[in-house]
Amino acid sequence: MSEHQDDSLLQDFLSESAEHLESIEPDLLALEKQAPQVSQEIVNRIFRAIHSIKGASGFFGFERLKQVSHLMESVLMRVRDGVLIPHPHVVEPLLMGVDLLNVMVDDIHRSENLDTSALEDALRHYSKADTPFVVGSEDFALPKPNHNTDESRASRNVVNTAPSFYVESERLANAKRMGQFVYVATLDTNLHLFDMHRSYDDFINNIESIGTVLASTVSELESNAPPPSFNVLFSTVLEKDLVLHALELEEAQLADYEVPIVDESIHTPQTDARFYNETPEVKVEAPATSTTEVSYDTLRVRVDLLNTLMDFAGELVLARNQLMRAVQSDKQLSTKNEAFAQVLDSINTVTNQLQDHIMQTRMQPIENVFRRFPRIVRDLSKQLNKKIQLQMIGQDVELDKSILEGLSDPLTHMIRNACDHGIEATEKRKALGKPVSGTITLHAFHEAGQIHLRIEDDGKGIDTQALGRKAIANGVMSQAEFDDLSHQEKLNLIFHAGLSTAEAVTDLSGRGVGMDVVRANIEALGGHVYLESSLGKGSAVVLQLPLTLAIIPCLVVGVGEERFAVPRVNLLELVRVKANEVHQRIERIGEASVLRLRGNWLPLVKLADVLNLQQPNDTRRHIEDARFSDPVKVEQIPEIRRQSPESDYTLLVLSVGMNQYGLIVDEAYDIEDIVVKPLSTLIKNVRAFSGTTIMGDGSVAMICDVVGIATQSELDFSGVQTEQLRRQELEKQRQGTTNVDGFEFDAAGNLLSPLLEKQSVLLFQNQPQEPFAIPLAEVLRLEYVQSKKIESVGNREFVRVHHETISIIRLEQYLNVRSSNQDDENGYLILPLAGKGKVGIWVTDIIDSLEVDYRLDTDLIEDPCLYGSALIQDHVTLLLNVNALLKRAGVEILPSFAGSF
Amino acid sequence: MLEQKLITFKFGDIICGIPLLDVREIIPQMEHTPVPLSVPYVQGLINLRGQIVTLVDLTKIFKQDSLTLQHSKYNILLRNEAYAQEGLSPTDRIGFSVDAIGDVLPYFEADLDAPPANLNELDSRWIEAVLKQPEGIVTILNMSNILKEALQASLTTV
Repeated sequence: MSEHQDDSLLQDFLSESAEHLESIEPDLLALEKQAPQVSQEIVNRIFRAIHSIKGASGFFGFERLKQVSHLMESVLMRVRDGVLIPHPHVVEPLLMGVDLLNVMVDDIHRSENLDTSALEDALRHYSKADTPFVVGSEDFALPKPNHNTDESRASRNVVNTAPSFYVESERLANAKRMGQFVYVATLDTNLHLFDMHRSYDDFINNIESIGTVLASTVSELESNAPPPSFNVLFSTVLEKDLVLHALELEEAQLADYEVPIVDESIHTPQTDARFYNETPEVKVEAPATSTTEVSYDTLRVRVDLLNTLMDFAGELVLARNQLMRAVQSDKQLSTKNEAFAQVLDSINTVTNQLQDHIMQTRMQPIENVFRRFPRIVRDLSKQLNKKIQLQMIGQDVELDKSILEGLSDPLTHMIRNACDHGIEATEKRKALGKPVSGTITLHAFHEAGQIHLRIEDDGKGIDTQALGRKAIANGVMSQAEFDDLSHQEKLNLIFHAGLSTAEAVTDLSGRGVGMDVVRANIEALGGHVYLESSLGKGSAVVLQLPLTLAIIPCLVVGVGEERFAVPRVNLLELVRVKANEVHQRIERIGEASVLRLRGNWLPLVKLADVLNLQQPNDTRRHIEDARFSDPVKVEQIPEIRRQSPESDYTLLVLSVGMNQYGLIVDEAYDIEDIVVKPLSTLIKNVRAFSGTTIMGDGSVAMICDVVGIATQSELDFSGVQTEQLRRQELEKQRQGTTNVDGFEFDAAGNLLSPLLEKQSVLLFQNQPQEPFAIPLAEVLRLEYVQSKKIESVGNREFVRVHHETISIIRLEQYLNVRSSNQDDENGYLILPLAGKGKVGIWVTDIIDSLEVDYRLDTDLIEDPCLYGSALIQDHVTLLLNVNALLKRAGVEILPSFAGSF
Repeated sequence: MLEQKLITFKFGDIICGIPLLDVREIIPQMEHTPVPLSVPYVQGLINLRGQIVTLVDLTKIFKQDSLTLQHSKYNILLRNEAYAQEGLSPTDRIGFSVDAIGDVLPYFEADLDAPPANLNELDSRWIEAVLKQPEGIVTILNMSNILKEALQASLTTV
């Protein structure tokens, strides 16, 4: 029969059924949780959902589907009536039923071939456990027509008595509200149809001509061969005698139907109170998910239509960018015409808003993914014989559809992980004094323009030692290497393919494939994965995800003649290395070049090298590019570029998971919002790129895949890290050095070697051309002070600031430097951290605070109160050793600072 | 019998053709963005009114040293439907560069000849049929085979 049906109708049925099934599952779980109490609201909701599936499957002729849903309905009815308490053993077959229905709906045309007998038996067992099962009226709420009121309930199974209907209370209420009468017609098929030469359909049409059929005990299937008797519930504006006349019925066949009083706030199928006289009077709070459901006016829209809209919005953004660029380059255009500028402004605004809203159409609440987890956790906790609670926070956080789809598998994996080897067995938890029931928390929230997802459990945490043993056994690293790792790095071993801490491999997890896949999946979505763990207390996996993949902010960089886009999420900072410092700041370790950046070693990759750009005989060259027409020039250009003292290195510090690397480019331009277009099939295997985009000038640019580039260039992060640790350790052992505020000292407190790296310093001077610098980190605060407020006591000077007396140190008193200008009315006090806010160094002028690279020259300066001199902003600047100065001035300094000397 | 139409174009001196119905658009060569690390026959990407088209150098697929693009003056953009079944995604836009564009030739199925055993320039895999014309022989390309080869190469090269 199904093949004759309109296909689109069938599709609607299938998608609606799938939606119903999705809603049934959490409700069933809620029901189970609340047992032995039963929330009528929840049962009715499940009931209604199952009933619509049953009804429609009957209509389409999917017998098996109908049969299963029918049995489920029967069980539910007994639950609703309070005869059956929804204990797990009752809910189990219902959940299995949901699964089975899901399978059937997924592949509807083969649903008839499924063997459902086992489940049907289980359902049947509960549907008729203690009372005989009455066919025909068992699954309907029973609104009793008036004339039947005196009949006993026992007679319901007698043909042609109490009709029973399932009808939405809203429809009944609506009919009443519109002043319509609701009647129940009771007909004998032979007497009232065939003898009067009309079919069931004729009769129904007859009613439809005067009113609306609300329900009938004859299903659509049976309409050709109705049962011997049947009832029809309908509403009409006609008085009873007119109806009798119109339908050619006798008075006994038509009864008024009293619409029960409906609580308008709860839209559940209305039920006759008397039918529920066995129902215990229990009010159960519905689960939070259902009470807050607000229904917006919604419309089903095809996803491809949304995608097209998205594409057009993207085009608009590009066109807008081009327009803005064109106008900016043509000053006349924008300045001459005020109105034009305004139009441009509004185009800009509208485009932005349009883009935002169209993006929102693709946004879906993360609940769509979360929804399946209660069931998974429930099943797993049974299977593993553990008590596990699942808490979900932030289900309404919205994410782009494409990201949501990609999240489902990794999240499921992590939930399984948490259940299987996160949460301990019940006895163990008892022994440890933990709550018997373990808790897994799924928390989604916004932070810094990204979505954060935290999967946390209060289980045993990750045993880094066990991980280490495994890693060593598998030859991933040596014991010494493992010992050198930080806690975080040890945790990260879990991302290493082939390592699992589960002692026994279960069918759930423990095979050691998984977390590496999770990380790969999340990174493919442009996100990051972090781990937190505290042994014995629990662990957490944190996912950081972009909101959307369609339009992302990117830094546009140039290499040679080409431009590339680098996603900003991966970009930590931009560093410029002066050409003449390149050989000092960049070292080679084995195969890799590394940059020392604030104590860390950053492996470096040259984008041009990774992409094989600027090589002679490169076939992938821009044909219009004149440079390449002459092979000799091609050879020269990169060399010249590399050696030119004018050209600095521009470095992008990029993050890949927990690792970082530096990408060397020729030029870094702007950060722009770019529209991501997928790679075509012919180039999607190029790992270095994740997509393409159209730039403001209309040209195409490739979007770099930060992970892909690292893989492509075979960056060995662990190698660099290990080497860095080894060298640092070696250095320390040899020298017994300490590192304070960027300066390196030996055990005796002598400055060792100047560190060539960025330092934040405060620049000041007392006399022009005699600047000083101190590390910004040593400064507590600055105070602006008027000279006249300075009081002298003996040979010491004090000033009161904010009710505190600060002792003043003048540099010329302790150092061989020019004195400050006494005529100056005002000056500043630099309060060093070590002086606890009680001492201030008097300076006339604060020049700047800035981050600088400098090379410390210690040869010319003998004074221990000065580290040395350095060239900062083209001036020879004296670097002040504040601690030594304070000591010389007889100031008691903070112990922590004193300790380093 | 239905009259069909062929668009002719040149690689160097060879006249080739494909059914006109397979062609979406012919555009003059425009500046394109090369794709580093891609297979050699991917010439680059162009922005055609907001859609990104992958340009292919067919002569590189032919692997015939004597046959290379000379001027690359025009791009022939293929209609999606013409190659949808070749394992390419329906969102892919593909075009190829040619040295010159020739006439549109009407022809009947009966006018076509099977490709000769050795057409000196091209492997018979790439040839669907030939059409004799006063100006010379028009080689009708087997785009299906050509694109299949292109796809294969792009999937195996990483």
